[in-house]
Amino acid sequence: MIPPVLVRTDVIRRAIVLGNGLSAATVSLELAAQGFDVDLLPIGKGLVEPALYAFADERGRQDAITKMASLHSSPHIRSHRDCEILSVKGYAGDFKITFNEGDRSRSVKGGAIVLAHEPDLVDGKIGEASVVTNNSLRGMIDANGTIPNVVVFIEGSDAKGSCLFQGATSSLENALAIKMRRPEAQVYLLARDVDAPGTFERTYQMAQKSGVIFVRGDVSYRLSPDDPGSLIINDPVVGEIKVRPDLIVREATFDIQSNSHLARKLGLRSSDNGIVQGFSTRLHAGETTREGVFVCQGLNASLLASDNISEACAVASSVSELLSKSFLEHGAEVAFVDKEKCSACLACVRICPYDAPLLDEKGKAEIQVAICQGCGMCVSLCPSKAIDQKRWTDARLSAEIMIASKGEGG
Amino acid sequence: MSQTKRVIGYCCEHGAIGAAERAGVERRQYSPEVLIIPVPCIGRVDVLHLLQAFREGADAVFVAGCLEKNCHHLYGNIEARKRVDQARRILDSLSLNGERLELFNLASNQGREFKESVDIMLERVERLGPNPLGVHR
Repeated sequence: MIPPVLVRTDVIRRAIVLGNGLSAATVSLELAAQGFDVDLLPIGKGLVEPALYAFADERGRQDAITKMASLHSSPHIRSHRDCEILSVKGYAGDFKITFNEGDRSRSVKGGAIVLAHEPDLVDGKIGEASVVTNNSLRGMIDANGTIPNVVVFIEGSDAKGSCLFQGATSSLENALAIKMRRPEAQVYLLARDVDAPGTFERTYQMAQKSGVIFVRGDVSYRLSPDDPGSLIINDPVVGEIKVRPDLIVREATFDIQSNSHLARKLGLRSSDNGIVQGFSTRLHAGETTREGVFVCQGLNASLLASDNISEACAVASSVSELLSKSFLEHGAEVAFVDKEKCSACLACVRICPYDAPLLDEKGKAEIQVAICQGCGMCVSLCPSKAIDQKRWTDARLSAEIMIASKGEGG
Repeated sequence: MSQTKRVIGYCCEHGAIGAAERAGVERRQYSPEVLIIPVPCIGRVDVLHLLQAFREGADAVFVAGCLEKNCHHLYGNIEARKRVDQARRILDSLSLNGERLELFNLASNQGREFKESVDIMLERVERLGPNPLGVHR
């Protein structure tokens, strides 16, 4: 075994928050409260109004409005406007983001990046039915407005009309409220699964008893081709259901393209529906596959604002754990170049998922220790066999093959 | 010459090793004729490593990494597929039959699928017979 040669890098005690909503605001304020400087880069249309979120009570709503307002008064937070991310360079502890703010190109540096992008909350129309958010619906119910005959709740649909998310607790409450006010109304709730934590279990049971129809699993919907006012819901168990909705309640639409694009810039992987994948929120809040980049996944949980806020607080604590370190150590499993053998073919530069290899001043490849994640793709590709990897050396793998093939190891 | 088969599996630390462990936790017994070599990512596996295993007498080799589009290192499994395809063509041209080499995509919770993959390889060795290069064993 070759002992690892560890390289120490400094940590910039700043954070860069990409986002446009309550999660981004909460992360920024939490970090500012701990004394870290924060650059807040809203993506796209700018900050989402707190009034568009669903709250359990009026106090929560007031708290959120105060919170969003205090963003501009905090001395630690530097807010930008209408940002378009151009490039993300660097490694945990030392990132540099270049972006367009309006027409000007700017760049910020920071030790950690938080992706807290939230979908646009839009009202609109599907077929002939009007589309509202849960919060607008809540307002209608509270104001004793007329309750429509057929209401369909759709939880996070993609462009193809598949339901992606778990049923939000706010949808559950609203579905039950409609049934309470008008028992003869037909209420459908389309979701991948219904998430009813804590006391919401009771709400769920009451909603089921009162006759809310839950369609779960691989649910999809489409407009009826011959009757534009009808919606065909594809239930994985009973098949197609045809309904004629008066009102569709849908929380969030996600610009899949722009989100996947953003994820790629950050070197993260995203699923087909544009959701950035992180580790378990319970075990590693907000951590992603790239060290130093964190993500708030408010979408995958319920859409009640309190859940977004508590998740953002957990992510902020993960970020502060990284930023509180005075240095980071890298280099246990990194690849390294034998410059005598390197023919500067650039194969490693092209294949690296992390942009770790560069050419040095002599025109030979050099792998930046702080960026290398030790995947070894360049090692196996290098046609000159100039690259080897610490811990997983070629010699070690060969020896393991020799033993394994002869059966002496078994 | 012994009748025991010898199958080597390159497993990535993020997906397939987890699947192998999961198989153990689920008490799914797979043959002791399979030996696993852990690698940081299956993109690390070189064509040379694949061929060396056959030269040393392995009857079959499989490479198991993360599910496609879900690679810990973004696209290591796609790169590995290219290497495996290249090595298979070489095996075919040596009349060793490229079917002795296979790539599987496993998530770390797929214990059953891991055992099934191992069984597929053992069944192929059964069908194709021992590696002719393994005579010195």
